[in-house]
Amino acid sequence: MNAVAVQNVHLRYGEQKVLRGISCTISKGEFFAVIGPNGAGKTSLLRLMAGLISPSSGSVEIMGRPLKSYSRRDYARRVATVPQEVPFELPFRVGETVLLGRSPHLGLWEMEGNRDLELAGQAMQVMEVEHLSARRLDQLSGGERQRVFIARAICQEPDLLLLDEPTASLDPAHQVKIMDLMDRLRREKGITVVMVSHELNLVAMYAGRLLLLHSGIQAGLGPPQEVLTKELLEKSYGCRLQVDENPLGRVPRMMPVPEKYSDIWESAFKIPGPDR
Amino acid sequence: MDTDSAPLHRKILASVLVLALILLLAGVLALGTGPAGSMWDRFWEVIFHRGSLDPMESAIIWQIRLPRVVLAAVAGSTLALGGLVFQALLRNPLAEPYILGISGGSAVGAILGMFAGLAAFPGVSAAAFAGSMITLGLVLILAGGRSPLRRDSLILGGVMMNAFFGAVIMFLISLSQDAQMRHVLFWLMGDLSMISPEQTPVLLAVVPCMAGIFLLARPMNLLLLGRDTAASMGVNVRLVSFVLLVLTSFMVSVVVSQSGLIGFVGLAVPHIFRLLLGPDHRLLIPACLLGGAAYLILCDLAARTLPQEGEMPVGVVTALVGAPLFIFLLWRSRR
Repeated sequence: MNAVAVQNVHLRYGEQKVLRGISCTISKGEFFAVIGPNGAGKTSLLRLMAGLISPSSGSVEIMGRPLKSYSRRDYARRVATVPQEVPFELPFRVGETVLLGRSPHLGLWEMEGNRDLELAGQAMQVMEVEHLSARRLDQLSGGERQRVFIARAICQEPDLLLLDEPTASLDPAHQVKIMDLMDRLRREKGITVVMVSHELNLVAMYAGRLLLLHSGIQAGLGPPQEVLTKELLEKSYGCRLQVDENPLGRVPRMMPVPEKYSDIWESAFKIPGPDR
Repeated sequence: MDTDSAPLHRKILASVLVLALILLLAGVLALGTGPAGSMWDRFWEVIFHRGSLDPMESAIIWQIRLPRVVLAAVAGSTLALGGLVFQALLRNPLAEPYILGISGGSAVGAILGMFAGLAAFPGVSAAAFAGSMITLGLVLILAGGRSPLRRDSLILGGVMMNAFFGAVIMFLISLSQDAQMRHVLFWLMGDLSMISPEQTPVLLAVVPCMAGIFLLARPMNLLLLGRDTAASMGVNVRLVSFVLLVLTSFMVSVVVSQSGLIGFVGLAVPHIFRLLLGPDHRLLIPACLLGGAAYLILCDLAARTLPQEGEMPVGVVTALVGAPLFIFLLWRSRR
C-alpha cells in the first residue's frame, strides 16, 4: 500500500494556477523530497498532503484512503506536519510543546496520562532534546527549536511525517543532524518522510526519490540520479549549474555557477559560448 | 491517578481553591464596606440573621451592595476571559475587548437599542452584541493581510475604533434627555452602581458562553502554535475561532450594557496569571474567571471607598492599573 497517492492534482488560487497535473505515489517507509525553485508549488503540494487545503481537481489518497474520508482528528493521528512558519514568541516549555502532540489522541478535556508522557519522552529522546525539556522555547537555538517541533510531530505517532524546509536557516551541523534523525526515524520506526527542501545536495544523499516542481508542473520524478541532472535542474532553476558526482553516496552534487567564474566554467566544461 | 499528570490536575485544583478563597474574601469585604459605613461590627449578624436587623442596613447590603458585587464579579470574569481569548486567538499579548474597541462597539449598540426603546433583555443586549460583532469584523479587516505590521495595526485599529465610539457615545447621550440613558461617564469609564436586583439575572446569560470557552481550552493551546500547526493537529481552526469570537463578543456585550466600558481588565488579569501559572489555558481559564471576579470586586471597592466624597467610576481604577501595564507590554514586545 502507498503512504501517499496523488493523482492528477490541480490547484488554483483564483486565476493563478499553482499546481498543474501532479501525480506521484510515495511508498510506506520512503524518504521522499519535493524540490524546485521558489514559487514552484512545493509548499502548496505539502499543504495538500497535510489536508490543510483541498485540490481544485484530482485526488489525494493517504494510506489507501481518500484524504476527504478522514475526520480532522483521525487524520491528525496518522499524519503529522511540521510547517515552515511557527510563531516565534511561544510561551511553552519544550516538554509542554512536545506533549501537545498527544492532543489528537485525547478528548477535549482529557488529561495526558502516563502513556502520553512516555511517548513525549521518547519523542524528545529520538530528537535529542530531552535535556532541554524544562527550557522555554524562546531560549533555544534555531536547530534546537526545529528539533522540538519535529519531536512534537513524532509524539503524534504518525505513519506519515510532512516537513516544510525543516533545515532552512540552520547551520550545516544542525542541517545534517535533522536529516540524520529523519533518516533514523524512517529506518527504525518505518515512518514515511516527505520533505520540501532547497538543500539539493543534502536531500540527494538521503531521499530515495525526489519530485522536481517547476511553476506548478511536475518536471521530474525519480531517484536522485534521474532527477538531479544538469538539464532538468538548469531548466527548472533558470541558472547555470555545475553538476558532478558526490563521492558520498555517489549521488549528483550541484553548485550554482557565479558570474565571475563563468569563463572558467565554460572552457572547463566545453559548453557552447555565451549565446546560451 | 498517574503520578506524572498529577501536577496539572493538582495545579488546577490548587489554583481554583486559592482563587475561590480570595474571591470569597473579596466579596465579603465588598459587602461589608461602603460609604454608608462599614458595618463590620454587626456584619455577621447582617449576613446570617437577615430580618432581625435594622431594615435599612439590611437593604443596603442586600439590595444595593450585593447586586453591585455580583455585577463586579461577573464583569470581571467576563472581561478577563475575553482578554484571554483574544490574546490566544489573535496571538497578540495586547489584545483585549476594550483595547480592540469591541466594548465600545457594544456600548454604542446598547445605547442605540435604548434609543429604540428596546427591553433591557434581550433587546438591548442583542443590540450591544450586534455592535460588538460589527466592530470585531471591522477590526479584523483593518488588521487583515499578512503584513508584518499586523500586530500593530490590530491595536491601532482598535484605538481608532475606541476614539470614534467615544465620540459617538458622547454625541448620542447629548442628544438624549432620557433619564434611562444614564450619564456619559457611566458609558465611558464604567460604573457598577446602576444595576438593580431585578436586572441581575440578565447576567446569567454569560454562563453558557464561559462554559463553551472552558471546553475549548485545549484547542486554544494548539492555536498558539499557529493556524496551520493547529489544523494539522486536528483542530477545526475556522470553527473554533468563530465560536470563540462569537461567545466572547456576546458575553462582553451583556456585561457592557450593564456596566459601561471598563478597560484593561482583560489585559491585567490574564497577564498576571500567565506569569504565575504558565501558558496552559486549562489552568488559565478557571484562574481568569475567579481571579477576574476578585480583581474587579476589589477595584470597585477602591472606586467607592477611596474618594473623599461620592465615588469614582471603576474604569478609572482599572485604567490606572492597566494602562501602565499596557505600555510596559508594548515596550517589551518591541525590544
